[in-house]
Amino acid sequence: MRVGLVISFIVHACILLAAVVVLPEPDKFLVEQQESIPVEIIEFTDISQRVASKRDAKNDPVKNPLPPKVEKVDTPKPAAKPAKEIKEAVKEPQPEPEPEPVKKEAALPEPDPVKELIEKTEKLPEPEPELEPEPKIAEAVAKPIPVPRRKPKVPKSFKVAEKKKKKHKFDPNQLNTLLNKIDDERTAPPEPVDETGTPANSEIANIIGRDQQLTGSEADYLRQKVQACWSPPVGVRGAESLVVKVQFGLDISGTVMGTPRVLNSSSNPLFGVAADAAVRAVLGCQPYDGLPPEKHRFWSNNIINFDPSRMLAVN
Amino acid sequence: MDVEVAQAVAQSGEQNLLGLFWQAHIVVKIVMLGLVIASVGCWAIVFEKFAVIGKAKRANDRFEQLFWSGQSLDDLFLTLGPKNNQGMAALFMAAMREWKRSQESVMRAGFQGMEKRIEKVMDVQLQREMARLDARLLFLATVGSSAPFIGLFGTVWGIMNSFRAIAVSKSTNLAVVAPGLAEALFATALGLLAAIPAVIFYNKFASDTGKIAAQMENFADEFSAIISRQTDERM
Repeated sequence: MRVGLVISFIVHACILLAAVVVLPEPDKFLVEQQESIPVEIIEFTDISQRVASKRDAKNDPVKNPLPPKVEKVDTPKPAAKPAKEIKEAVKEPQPEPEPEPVKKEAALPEPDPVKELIEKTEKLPEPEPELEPEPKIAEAVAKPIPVPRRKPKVPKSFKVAEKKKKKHKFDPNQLNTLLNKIDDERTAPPEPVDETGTPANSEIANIIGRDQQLTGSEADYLRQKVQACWSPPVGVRGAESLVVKVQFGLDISGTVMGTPRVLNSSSNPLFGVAADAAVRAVLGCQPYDGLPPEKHRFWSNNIINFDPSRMLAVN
Repeated sequence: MDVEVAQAVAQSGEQNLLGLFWQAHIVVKIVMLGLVIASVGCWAIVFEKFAVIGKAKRANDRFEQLFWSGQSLDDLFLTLGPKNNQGMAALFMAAMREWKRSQESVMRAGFQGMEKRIEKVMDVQLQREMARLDARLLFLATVGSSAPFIGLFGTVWGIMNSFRAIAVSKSTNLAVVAPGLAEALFATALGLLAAIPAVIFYNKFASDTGKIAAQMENFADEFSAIISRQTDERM
């Protein structure tokens, strides 16, 4: 036993010694110093405001004076006439007009695709179903239609138009035009609004005008505030027919003036319940005191879509 | 700040094995020391058993050759007499001694009692031999089964400590946690280092001693059969 113990001890000592002396320290991992990615913190308001102004510029050629509904309705109408002429013109195979639409539409989202995306997502909840059919048809008939129609406007209107011409093919925007062809609810309607010059019904024009001014964050504020109080009908079949459009006025202190009005109706037997829930949500969440008072005129009258299948949408 | 300090601490500590040991918590140190001692003990036993069992096997083989070589049992008894016999030789000597001693009483009491006594004596000698071979094998078995748990205990303790260190330093930086985890895992490594050879060699030695025991039992039976035949012939 003693011999074994001695041998064992010696062997262990040797191994330990070897482990300490011979075995190297573990290799250090090669850590490449990674460049820290600069992250810029941007106020959401900045983006949304910019978006609004950009949209403004886009729409301007069509409707220069913003607020009056009547004018908006008026101006597009004359535009519609040339459109028909152009449609015929386009049917004759002309090589020229083809590339130009690209320029036109490419020029619109100039700034960068990201903003474009943001813009789209913000536009997403807008209820513009009434607008859709017309632009769709227009686009379906022939994509290049807008081209010549725009031409006459170019000299009249602003630098915007000139810029559009300067900017030549720009890939992401081309992509954008492609996207437009797919006629998505999100992509298609906003652009043709001014271009097709379809007789927009006054209410919608009104909505658009307001949206330009009320920034995304403020709309979000309203949306979130109302959403907190809203208990949507859960698990109801045919929830898409339970969209309740509520209009309500706010005074400067953010309290609801009068009673909210339900603007739409539905055959769904539960619509009454949904409408009640929506009105209750609007009334229950006042005061809406987080809105800037200096913009009161833009949020004095609001329309909110209570859509149980999505969430809320503020107009 | 905290993070940098912790990193500095982590880097100042040696990352080799001794460094790992010295950084460890006292409990973990005790566990590690215990495991190293167990490992040393295990290997000591392993070396000893290798020698003892190998010797026993060789001795048995040699004795069997002698025994079956046709030499007379008395001659064999005389040649083996002065030696310190082990294994089968010891059995044989015990039986022969008892045989010699019984010669006088055989006249009076007959061979019956003598055969029984010889068997008994051989049985006792067999037990002794086996006890000598089996000695300390149990230690191997114990280390083999418990060392991993002891190592695991050290690891759990070390990890516990390093988590408390995280809580104290309020930093989850890996450089803070890693040394503690490494030293903790070192305890498990030592446990396994001790346990694996212990289990392997325990199994080997257990089967070896089992074989030797069977051999010796066979020899004892054969020898008692021979003795019984001899006594029958004499009667």
